Amino acid sequence: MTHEERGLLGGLCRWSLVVGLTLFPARLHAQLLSAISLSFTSIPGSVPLGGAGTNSASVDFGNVSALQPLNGGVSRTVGASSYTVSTDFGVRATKNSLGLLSPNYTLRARLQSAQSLTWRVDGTTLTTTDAIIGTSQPYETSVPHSLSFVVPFSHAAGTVNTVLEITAIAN
Amino acid sequence: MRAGLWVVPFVLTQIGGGFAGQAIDRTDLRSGISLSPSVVMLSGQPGQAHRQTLRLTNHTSRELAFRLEAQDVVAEEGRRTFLAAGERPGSIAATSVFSSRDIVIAPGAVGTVDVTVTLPRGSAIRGVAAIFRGQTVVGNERGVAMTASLGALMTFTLSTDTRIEGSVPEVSEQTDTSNLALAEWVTNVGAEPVVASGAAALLNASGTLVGKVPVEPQRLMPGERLAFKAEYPDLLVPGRYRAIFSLEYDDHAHKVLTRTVEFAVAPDRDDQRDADRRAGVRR
Repeated sequence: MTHEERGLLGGLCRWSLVVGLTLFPARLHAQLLSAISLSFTSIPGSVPLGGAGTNSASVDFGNVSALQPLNGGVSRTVGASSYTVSTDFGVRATKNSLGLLSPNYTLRARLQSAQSLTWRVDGTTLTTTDAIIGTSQPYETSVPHSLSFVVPFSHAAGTVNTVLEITAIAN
Repeated sequence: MRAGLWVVPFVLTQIGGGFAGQAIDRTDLRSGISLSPSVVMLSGQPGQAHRQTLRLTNHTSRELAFRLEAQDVVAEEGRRTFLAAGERPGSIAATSVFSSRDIVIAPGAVGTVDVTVTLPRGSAIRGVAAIFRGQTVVGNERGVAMTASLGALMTFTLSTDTRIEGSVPEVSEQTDTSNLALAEWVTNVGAEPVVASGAAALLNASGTLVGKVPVEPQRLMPGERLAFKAEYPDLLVPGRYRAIFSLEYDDHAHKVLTRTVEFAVAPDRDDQRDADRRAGVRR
């Protein structure tokens, strides 16, 4: 390598360093890394989840009406103009042994698309915007949550489908 | 010079935590999906940027799709909340740049995404959540399908303004079915995130230490208010007690918040009846 080549290379290195420092003047310093996991679980006495133990589960309420018998694990309350059908599902979040500084987690829920029926988790009405269901949820345990929907008497018979997004964020 | 003083300890900490944290502890995290790191605590100065690699592991037998999103983490009226990028001035989430907005992860594989965030100058926000939103839906032909999302919390400490305030601890008396419990409401009144933890000590009337129970750590974002709780696992004999509730925070300044409360444990009715009988008291 000639003296000129070394000079050119050195200049490029210096410019690269200047550009790098301009973009990242002084890197912030990370202190802690950890991990969080999430899966859905079935709750005894409630509707068994399809896909329990994974991150994609389903709940089949079966046929519901204001008066007819319901599937096992489904409960119903009847009001003046509507009835509410509900069951429980579990959320289990875990952390690895390095997650000492994530004492618990925040749980949120939302609908992935707008629905004609009113859906609730733990009494909180869901929309397509995230709603906080629990603020200090414990790790390493299956936490039961109620899932319900409200059917007005005037609602036409038909299939009810919805997609619920459950989010756990480390605290 | 001040930055240099900060850099040395954090660089050392980052080396130890960083290498260890990249490996997921699979014994705990074999179901569903897992995200690493879940918490990243950063320190630095306004205007700085940080690039963080996030790894999402798909432990299932299905291919899973996710969409990446950043949200600011703030406290409103004492409660932690999450705001869309740009919703509040000084939004950190609005500066976030993901290496990919969408990612598909094969069964058993690990998906990696880098997120770069920059701290706007003058921002009061000290937290951002990087969220992997689940897009794969299974089994909603009839009923409800649920899909899981995971979020990593990144916190930022820019100054030494770490301060918390606590209420007088509340005492829940022991009963036949529950232990004596103490709860202190703590508010982060400083500008920086705080992780506080500690212990509650119980002294009897003569000042002798009767017991000590740990207070589990909790993170408080600026403005956030949380209850710190301690439960004494043994039965306390009747008498007067003083509880000293101490919370430590700020690893560098080693600050301690201490609150005390006095309370009495009354004899239960059977004990009182026996004591009265021995003393010749008729009721």
